[in-house]
Amino acid sequence: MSKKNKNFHREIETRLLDTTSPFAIREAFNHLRTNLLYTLNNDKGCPIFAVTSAGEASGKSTLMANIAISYAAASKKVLLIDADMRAPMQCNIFHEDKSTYGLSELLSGIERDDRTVIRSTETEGLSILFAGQTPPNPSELIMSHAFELYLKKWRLEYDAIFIDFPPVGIVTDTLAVHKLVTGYIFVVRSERSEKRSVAASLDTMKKLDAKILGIVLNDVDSKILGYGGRYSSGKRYSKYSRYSKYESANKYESSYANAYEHAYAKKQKEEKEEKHDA
Amino acid sequence: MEKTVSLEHLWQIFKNTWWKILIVVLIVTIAAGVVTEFCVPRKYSSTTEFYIVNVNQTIDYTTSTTVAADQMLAKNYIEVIKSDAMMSMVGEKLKENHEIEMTNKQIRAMISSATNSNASSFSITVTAPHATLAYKIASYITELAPDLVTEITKPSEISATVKWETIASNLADKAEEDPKYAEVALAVQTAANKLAENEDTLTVKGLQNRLQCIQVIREPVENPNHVSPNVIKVCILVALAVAILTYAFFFLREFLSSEIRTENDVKSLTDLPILGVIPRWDLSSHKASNAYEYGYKGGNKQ
Repeated sequence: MSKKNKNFHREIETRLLDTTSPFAIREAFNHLRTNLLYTLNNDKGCPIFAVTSAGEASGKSTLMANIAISYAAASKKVLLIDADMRAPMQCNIFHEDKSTYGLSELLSGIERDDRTVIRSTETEGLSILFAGQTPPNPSELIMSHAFELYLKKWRLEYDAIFIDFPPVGIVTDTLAVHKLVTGYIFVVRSERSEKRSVAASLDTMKKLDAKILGIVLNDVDSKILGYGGRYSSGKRYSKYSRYSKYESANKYESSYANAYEHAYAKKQKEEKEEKHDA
Repeated sequence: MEKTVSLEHLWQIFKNTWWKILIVVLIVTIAAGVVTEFCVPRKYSSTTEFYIVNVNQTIDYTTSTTVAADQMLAKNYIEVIKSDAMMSMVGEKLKENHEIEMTNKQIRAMISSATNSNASSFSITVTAPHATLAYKIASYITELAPDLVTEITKPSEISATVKWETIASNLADKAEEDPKYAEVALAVQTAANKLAENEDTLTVKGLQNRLQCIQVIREPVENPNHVSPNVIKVCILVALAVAILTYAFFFLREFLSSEIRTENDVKSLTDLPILGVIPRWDLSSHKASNAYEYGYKGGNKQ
């Protein structure tokens, strides 16, 4: 891993959504969550979202963790599975010991009760299944019948399942189970992902009939967010600059609505005070 | 992967890089201004202007044909002024009066000329490292040019007469051998005589009126203000050039980049929908010590 990537991995440890997260980030994840719901086309049952990328250091693990948090915050029961057994990241993100039992132990039969390896978190509704210790045969474990059976079981227990897979451009585990997942979220990191490798990975996935739900462009510099007309450039997160005063809202999951209500109530209070003074 | 460039794309590149371009332009322009002001040698100029007197025409200066003919004359006269003969004379004057030794080539390099397209005149400008030198050279040209031009251009008229006389002489020789040429030889000789008479008349008239081919209509003056380098002009040109080059650099960097940066880059690769765009998380603005808050709290599920 390059020095640049190591730095990146260190950085992402603290980038989990919470109430102190920037308003723009929270809204971006809310937007992503809404778009993911649209991709389901009214399919009933628990969707299984898999995340992958063309290469390393695209930020997919952090992104997956944050989408899971965002989903859980919308009163959903969510399971986040770290299926990248070669280079597990969720344990770093959630500050868990790498030797903790997880998916590899469950699929290899070392641990037979999934309830003992699935951990709950401070985020209500969010549970995590860490990758566990790196096995000698991660591909075989992912393609095992056991994994399929567990997924079927968890689909009955959760509202949404998110699986953090290895980069599709590096290992084949990701695509081996494409029939088991609802679809793939393909993560592209701005100013890092190479066009050729992304195009090649998408091509591979299409050839295997893997359902790609869409692309998430991650870690976009606020200065270049002006592209496509969705954001304006200049000030950091300037699209949201007018709303930044509402950042004091307590619940990020309904930040806009709460913030609006909060501001409206504040305005009414001020008007009352003015009348009272008059 | 076909690359297309839209106006919007160009504008976005500018919008995202304008401050960088501005910084580069400011730095380079200031540097260019300082270098121009303090390092580039200054130049001064002095200009004299001549009016063309066309002695061979019954003059009607209102017609454009006449002006065009004078333009041709002006070009000839400028060549005479830039000739070695004139440069030598100016060089001698400089040596005599100011003890400045300059070669013909050096003096010629200081001289530039311009013809007036709307009138029968032309100007000679002398540009030199010192205002006095420029003025002196221009003054000597003003003093010497009318006589020299008149003297040099006159022989062409004489040569015409000589030419006619030569033809008449040849015909006379032939007439001695063959009488049928006698009549033609006589006619040509008469014509040659008439031409010579006219030329004499013209020359006498010219001498009487002290008429010259060119006359000075603007005397040179010593100009203390330097004409070169023009710092403002240099700064404007440098600023424009640097702005264009800097923008071109950013555009090429963007255009030739192999990395994905924007939504447009993604759209150019695939038709898949873009589910979301996550802005860069600026940790400095996020007091993210709360990772544990949402992290693993320990213990098993339920």
